[in-house]
Amino acid sequence: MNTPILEVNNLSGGYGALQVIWNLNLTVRAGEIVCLIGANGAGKTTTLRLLSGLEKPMKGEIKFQGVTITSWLPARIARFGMTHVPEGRNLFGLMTVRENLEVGANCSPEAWQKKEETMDYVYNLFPILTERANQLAGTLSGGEQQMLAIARALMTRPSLLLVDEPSMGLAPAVVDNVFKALREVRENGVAIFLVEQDVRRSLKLAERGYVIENGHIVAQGTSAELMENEEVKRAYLAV
Amino acid sequence: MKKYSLKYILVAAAAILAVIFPFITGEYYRHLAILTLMYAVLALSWDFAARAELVSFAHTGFFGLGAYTSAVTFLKLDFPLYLSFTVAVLLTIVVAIALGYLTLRLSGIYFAIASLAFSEVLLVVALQLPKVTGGAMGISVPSLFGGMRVYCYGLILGILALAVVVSLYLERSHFHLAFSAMRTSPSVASVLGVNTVRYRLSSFTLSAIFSCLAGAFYVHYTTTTIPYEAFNLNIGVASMVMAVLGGLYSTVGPVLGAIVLKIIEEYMRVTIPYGYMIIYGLLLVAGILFLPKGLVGVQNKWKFLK
Repeated sequence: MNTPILEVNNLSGGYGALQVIWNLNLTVRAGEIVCLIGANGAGKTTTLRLLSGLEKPMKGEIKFQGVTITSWLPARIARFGMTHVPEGRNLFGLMTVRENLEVGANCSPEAWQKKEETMDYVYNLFPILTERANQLAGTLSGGEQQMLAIARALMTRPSLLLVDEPSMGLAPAVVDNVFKALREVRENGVAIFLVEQDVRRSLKLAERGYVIENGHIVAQGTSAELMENEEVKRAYLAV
Repeated sequence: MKKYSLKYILVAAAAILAVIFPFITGEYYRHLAILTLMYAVLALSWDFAARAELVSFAHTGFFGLGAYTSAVTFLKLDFPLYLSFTVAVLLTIVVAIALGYLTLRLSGIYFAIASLAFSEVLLVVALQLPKVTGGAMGISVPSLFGGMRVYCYGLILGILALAVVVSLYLERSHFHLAFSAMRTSPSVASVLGVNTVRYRLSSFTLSAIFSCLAGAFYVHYTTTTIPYEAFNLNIGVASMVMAVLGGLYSTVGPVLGAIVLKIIEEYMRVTIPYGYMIIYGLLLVAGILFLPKGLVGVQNKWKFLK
């Protein structure tokens, strides 16, 4: 339970000459949920893009399952067990729900072999997707799309899921469902690195958290500690 | 069940017609059919690249490369026909992988320009190596199967059948998933484990192989070619137009597009002596406007064909 699955050391990155992330250090241990919270534009999404290989880091090191993956291509990182659920869902809208899931399963031969088994698991996690299996992904509601995005990523059989803003644009009741599913995913042994603006909800779900401001980590600790942190209370919990 | 049976009957009828066609027609129609099948191979090969979101002008280059490699090895090295085709394909694979490795990281329009440059470079090479290629004077080979059109027809039909098999495999295997995902969003596909560069490279190479085969067939069939003809950009553009008008990302679409356009083109060439290309062009514009999904998109309107 306590072995770190993801270790990030002094990671800096951004877009072109524009540096967004400054000397980031963070750890995610196997089977835990860790959240990264912060305001709009603080660098949350950029952090995820650096981790999943979509952006090349300027410096620093990313170690995943004990292996340095700093300059790997995104596809290789995904096959190695770290899968990114992108912001705004980004489904393959003209493909059916089932085909979206199959794209995830196509990640590696092992994932493809266990496709039906994993599919049963994600349909169980999000029963609504069973009904929608042959529908085009673009015709799903916002909540269903978010569920499909998470389900699709799970089809790759990851050991760490990077989830970007799952609550974005969703009704609170739907967000509850999504968060409940994330908890269930964790109980099945998949670690989750969650990026969220909904700080209260994230801290309730996660074991630990990091607070990012202007590309710097400004606070970290267990969720209980962060809940009591005066700065966090003032800036994010509005109490 | 009934819905599918009509589709299979149509496919079977088309296949039977394709096989018996040269036996029930004269030389002129055989010749026309041979060129049509050759363009069907080209259009389908262009579509292979399009499926991986590549707009390629390199097909002209691979067509010419196939034509010249096969002609030169046949003439100067005395290779038998099958061996000269094989050498052309092998060289094409090497060139396609090398070119792909250099250019497939480019996206959209940049790749298109690089592929255009590739075709133009090969044209210049063919012109500048008169000792090997005959330069601007061109190259001549003995006629294929002693000019027996029925055999020529059989050969190009066989090449098309092979392309159709490859196309159906691409449509039904994991390639289909990866291609559709990449066309929607390459970056999302990549974080789900789709190695976009590898998929592009394989579709590009497959695509190059069939353009090369069409070119190799072409030079032996017409018995002579010059660089400006074998490396004519119109070949690549025509393949693109046929694939787009027939319906992209499908097997039936590009083949149907080639057949329909070739028939229309030939009919107008014969009936309208002057300026038939203007009308042909207008027809293409109308096609793109009214059939945005190509001829195969029409089946959505005529449900019984589905």
